[in-house]
Amino acid sequence: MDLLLDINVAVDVCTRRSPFYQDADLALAKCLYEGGRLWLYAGSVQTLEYVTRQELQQRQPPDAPPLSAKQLARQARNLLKAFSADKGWLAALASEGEVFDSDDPEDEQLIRALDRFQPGVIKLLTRDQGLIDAYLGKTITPAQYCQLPIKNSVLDFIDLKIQQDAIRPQLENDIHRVLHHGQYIMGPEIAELEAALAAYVGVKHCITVSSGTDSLEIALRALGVGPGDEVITVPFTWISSAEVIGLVGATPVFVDIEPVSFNIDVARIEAAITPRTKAILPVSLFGQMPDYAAINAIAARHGLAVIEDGAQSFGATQHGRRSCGVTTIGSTSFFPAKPLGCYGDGGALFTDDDELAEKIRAIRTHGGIRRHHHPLLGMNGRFDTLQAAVLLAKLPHFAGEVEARGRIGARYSEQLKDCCITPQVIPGNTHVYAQYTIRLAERERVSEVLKAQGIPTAVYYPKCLHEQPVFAGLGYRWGDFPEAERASREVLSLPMHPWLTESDQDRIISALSFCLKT
Amino acid sequence: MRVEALYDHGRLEFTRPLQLKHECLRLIVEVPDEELVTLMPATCNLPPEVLAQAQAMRDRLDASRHAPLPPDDELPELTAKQRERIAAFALREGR
Repeated sequence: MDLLLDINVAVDVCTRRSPFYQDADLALAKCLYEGGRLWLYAGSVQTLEYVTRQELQQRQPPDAPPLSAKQLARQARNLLKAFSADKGWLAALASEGEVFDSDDPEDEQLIRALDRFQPGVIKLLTRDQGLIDAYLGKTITPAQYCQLPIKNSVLDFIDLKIQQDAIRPQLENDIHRVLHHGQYIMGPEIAELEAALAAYVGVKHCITVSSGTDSLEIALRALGVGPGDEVITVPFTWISSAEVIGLVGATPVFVDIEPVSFNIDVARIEAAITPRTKAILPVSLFGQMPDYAAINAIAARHGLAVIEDGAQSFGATQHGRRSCGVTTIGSTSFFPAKPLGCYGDGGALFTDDDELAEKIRAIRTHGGIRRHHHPLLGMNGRFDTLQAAVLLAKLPHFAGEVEARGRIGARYSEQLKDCCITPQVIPGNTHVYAQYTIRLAERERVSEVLKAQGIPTAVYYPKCLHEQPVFAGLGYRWGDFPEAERASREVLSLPMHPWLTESDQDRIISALSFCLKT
Repeated sequence: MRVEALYDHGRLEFTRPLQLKHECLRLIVEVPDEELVTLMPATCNLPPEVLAQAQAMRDRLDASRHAPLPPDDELPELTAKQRERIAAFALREGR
């Protein structure tokens, strides 16, 4: 449960107001211990500052020289800065402005602010008896909160809240800017984001689109892949990679993976190439790139295009070059759980080829190259301006998050190496661990044991694509891709995100190690 | 209105069904003095990690509060607007 702090509680804590501050200190610590968040209401700042200053004035030690008005003002601000450093600021929204019919507009604002959360996930921490009596289900005193039973925290598989808390001021600014300028489709944030992402990847063109799946389909269309063509990809991946090949009328041709990186087995690609092959679509699965130097060399020998499905690998590198920047077209996804995720669906294509970029831009917008002129068949595939604003707020933090992912993944591998098969980083690669995926024989039992201890896990992917009914017509059978099939029965992904603390990671490692030894 | 309730291992239950207007309601319960062994403090169920975290937060705030302040003449003057605001808040608090 989160807590919104009423001014009286905040001032109790800041000014050590007896006898109230002890319970308040404990309530705040308990909330954090249980994984809750502490909020201050931005609309209360002036009152908070004044009341804190007033309390400090009244509580000056009698044996010390009294502080001047200026010193008191400085001390109040210093204290409030220290106090608010580990708390979130809850912005005052427009619906909290019209409170003039209320007996107490400030209290009314606080109560209304709770309504933006789902019922029961937040309470106002207060010792204002009038408020408690009037809003019993929405309020709680520090003493009452301390007496609630301790909840065992359930870890998030991917915790997006911490990141949102860290970027909230910029995020809210950027979103509100879009709301006010009103260019919801292809607003200025789109071009700004595309320029920033192209520079990050190190290519000439970035074209944002409506999803990672649409991104792959647009890439195929731009390359002219259609009925009668074949596209080589892997059977161990999310369905999009093969689905889009079917959607453009072509045929997916699966090549087995190699077991160490879960990526395409490069040595098997050439055997799958036929006169109808038009492109190779490797997937940089779980956050690590396959050997693109080798894949590009094969493609060049056979006159094929290469599309990197970098939905999970954005930020990863291979010999210093970034994912999405090493093939004819790179494609990524901004699905919320991806390394760079927005708050909805989104994706992007990357290329150095001016002509391809032009086609991709046209296909993204109904095949039009200028208003009301459509030489190509396209789609409604534009990225929302609001989502671009979200990514622009996230982008300055992305390099640090990529570094943290690598560090956390390496720590998992070091500590789990003796009890299960851990992912290996291929020499020359960096890994962004969109998923931290181990292999083990009895994953259902392990998953259940961890779940009972508040540790979620996930299986990516429990079935290979050639097992999916939609691809039954391709004629593949069980046994055609033994490495992919074995992986689909053994993989288990552990909680992974850039803000996973060492103590939470220790909890996961310890639970998993114990489970595997018993 | 006084109603009867039974206390059973930490839970209170009315002896006859009551239909109340609100789903949550604060009630005052009269506990016979001879039953009360100890009024437990709020901290009684809290694990040591919470107590340690509370202490760490307290130490951080106390350090901020006790940090030396610049002498008065080195601080910028309060602006007229700041003084007015302080006066306005004082009036409000005194109402």
